[in-house]
Amino acid sequence: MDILPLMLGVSLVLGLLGLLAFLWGMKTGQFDDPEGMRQKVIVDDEEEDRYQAMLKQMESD
Amino acid sequence: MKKQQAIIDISLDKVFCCLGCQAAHHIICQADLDGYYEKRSLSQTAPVTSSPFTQSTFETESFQKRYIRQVGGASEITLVIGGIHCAACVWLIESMLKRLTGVVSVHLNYTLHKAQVQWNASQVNLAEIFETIHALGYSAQPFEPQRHKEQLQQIVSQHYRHIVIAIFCTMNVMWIAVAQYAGYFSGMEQHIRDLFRLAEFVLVTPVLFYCGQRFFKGTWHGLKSGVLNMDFQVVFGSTLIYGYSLYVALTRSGETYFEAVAMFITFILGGKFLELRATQQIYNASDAFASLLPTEARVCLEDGERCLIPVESIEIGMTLEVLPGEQIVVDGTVVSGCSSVEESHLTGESLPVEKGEGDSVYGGSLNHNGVLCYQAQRESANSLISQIAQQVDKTLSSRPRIQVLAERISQYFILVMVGLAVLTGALWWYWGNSVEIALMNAIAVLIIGCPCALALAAPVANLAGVSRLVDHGILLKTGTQLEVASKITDVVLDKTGTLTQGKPEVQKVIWTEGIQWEALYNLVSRSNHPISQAVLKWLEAQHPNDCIVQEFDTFQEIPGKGLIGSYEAMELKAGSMKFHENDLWNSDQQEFLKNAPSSGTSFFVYSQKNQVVGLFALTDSIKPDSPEVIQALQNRGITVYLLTGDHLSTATEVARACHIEAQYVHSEQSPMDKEMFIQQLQKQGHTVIMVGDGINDALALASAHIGIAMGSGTEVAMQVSDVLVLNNNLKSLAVFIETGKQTYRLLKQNFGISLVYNGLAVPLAVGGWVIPVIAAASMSLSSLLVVGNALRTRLKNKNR
Repeated sequence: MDILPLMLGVSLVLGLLGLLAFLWGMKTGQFDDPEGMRQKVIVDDEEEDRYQAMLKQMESD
Repeated sequence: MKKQQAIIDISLDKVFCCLGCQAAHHIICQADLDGYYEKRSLSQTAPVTSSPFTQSTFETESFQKRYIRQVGGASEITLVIGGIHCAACVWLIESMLKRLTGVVSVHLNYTLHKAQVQWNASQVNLAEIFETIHALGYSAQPFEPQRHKEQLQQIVSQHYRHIVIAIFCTMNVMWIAVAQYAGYFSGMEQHIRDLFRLAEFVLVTPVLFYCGQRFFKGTWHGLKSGVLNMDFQVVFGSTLIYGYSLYVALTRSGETYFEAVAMFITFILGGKFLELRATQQIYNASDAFASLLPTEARVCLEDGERCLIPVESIEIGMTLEVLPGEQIVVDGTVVSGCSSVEESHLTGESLPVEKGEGDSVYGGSLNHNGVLCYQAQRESANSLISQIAQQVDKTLSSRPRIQVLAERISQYFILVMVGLAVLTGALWWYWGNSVEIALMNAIAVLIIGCPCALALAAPVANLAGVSRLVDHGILLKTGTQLEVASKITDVVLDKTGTLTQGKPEVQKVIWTEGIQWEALYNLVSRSNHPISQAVLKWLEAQHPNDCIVQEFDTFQEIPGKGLIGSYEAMELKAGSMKFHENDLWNSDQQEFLKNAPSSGTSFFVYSQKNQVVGLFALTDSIKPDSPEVIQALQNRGITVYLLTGDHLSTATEVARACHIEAQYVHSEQSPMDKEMFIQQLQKQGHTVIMVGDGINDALALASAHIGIAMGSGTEVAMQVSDVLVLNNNLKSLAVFIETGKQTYRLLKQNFGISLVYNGLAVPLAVGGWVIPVIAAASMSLSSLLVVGNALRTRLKNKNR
């Protein structure tokens, strides 16, 4: 039963890491836009990549 | 829908509904963003047409100070974007703006439709950004986060933090407590028991003191005003249990109840959190209506030039100019020009007023179709709307409050509990037990009596009520006020915009043979005047086949008089009576004029070749639900009053149609008059609801027990009201009062349940049969009962 304090401690610390990560996410405003979270999954950056490639080409010309 | 000729673009093999969409398509394709058309969900949208902003607006000092921030070398602004209807729009605007050279970053919030744009002022200016948004077919308005909204945002994030930490700690405490419960029955070694207790102590301490800090603060405020409020209950109960458990843990002399404290605090935080989220909704809704009070004015200089100055610099005697569609900035007298001005929000007068030389104009009113030069009579801070705004703050702080049921109950409850505990202790001791045992049982009574359910009863019942209101398009700022609606004795209604539509509508028409509807359609569709728009609406409904766009040979809108044009060699005129003074009238038309009601009716005359062929009578019509709703209120025994700034004649007519007796009608009321009337009623002991929408209602709305604002109303009205009716339907008033009564019933039920429950559990404690399992179970069970009862009501409502 000497392992018990260690188990308790480790479980709580691991849980604490999760909590801190969540609090950090809240602080950096990641949960402010629930609709955006849903919609941004669909958006791929195809157009953005094409545009950046086009810019690079123009620069190298 | 207007029947217009579609624009066919042969080179692209595409059809557009209007030039705006065609232009937008061109820009979108050029930027290689035509993926937009595949991504979007709706296909029928009209682009936004007007924009009151120019680069000069952005460059005035007051604008810069108010809206533009400097963040790390770049300028930043927050904009509210209008016209968004799906995620593709958001993506389009973001992508397009990012493509502008000089734009550093663009973050568009999908939920709130707010954009945060950072740009480098040397490479691009704000006007270009606005133009881009416009060219795509959307509108942009600068957003000024108001102090109270920012504060609310802070409160909400703080609450999020508290509840997340509380839930984390409580859940961990629970799995430790399970082990402890098992050990209670099967026996546990002391040093393991100590370990668990230490772990629980470490977890519960932050919950009580950090997450529960609002209860401590609330208790302190209550004590300062001499009241034992619900926060005191929570603090008293939880601190007592915490302290007792700590004592027991240190002296190893009994059972600890740390998990009960954690659960208690977390449950109640949860209830409050749900209430807070409901409040946040209403603030987000009123953002969308953010209107702009003018920040700068156009001064007429001696050399005939115009120059923009900030509103604060206006001095008495300055001559200012206002263009069509703009707001008049400050109270003044017209020096030259003539136009129609919309004053309904300030005076309640339902139709636009013709202003000419020598007439007075008020700051905040909207100029329709002419150019006016007016001399400022007051400085900006002293204009009527500024005065109202200042007075509103004062009125709000002295607003009367009715004590809600929860507060009344909580005061007695704690005294009863403490009394019972003392009695228990005394009895046990008297019957020959040690002081320690007596004390333990006394504390057990307090633990069981801990008002978890009681503290949840109110938030949960209010939440059920608020959700029901949201379903009907009604937003309520403070959930606790809902039960006040059940005690209402008087309802005071504003006329324009509340009982009536707020704009003129065609009531009666006569016309002669030979009238060409098509020509009239083309005349009125070129004018933005409310009366022209009303006739246009009528035409589209009654003669849709004649609504075809035609080219005119000439067209002119003469402000204050009417429209004049010529088409196929026919001279057309439409407008006010005076405009047609010299035309040919026939006897039918004269009869029509004589028989039409005199008050509040405007006439619109249409003549072809100087002969009157069409005559329209327009009034501000009553909302169809109004009479029904007022009847329902009166049947409940509520007295209904009508207070308006408009003339007695229009007021009497509207009152008659709505079944309000003349004695309850007051006309030509100034904003201050309305406030005084409500305060008088309140002094007589009545509980008053005020319903309004204009700036002239703001003071009354702020002083009533409950203020209800129509969603189409002014921002001031919405800010000072407790309730926002999004659908502008007067029926919402009846729904609100009914929900208030329902909530009050639910509250009484919930309190009844928790009190009964406590009544059953406390004897157990008095008899000394309380063990930790029972304490924890009773707390959860009573809370579940209370929440379940509220849910039951909610489900029942959903089926209505």
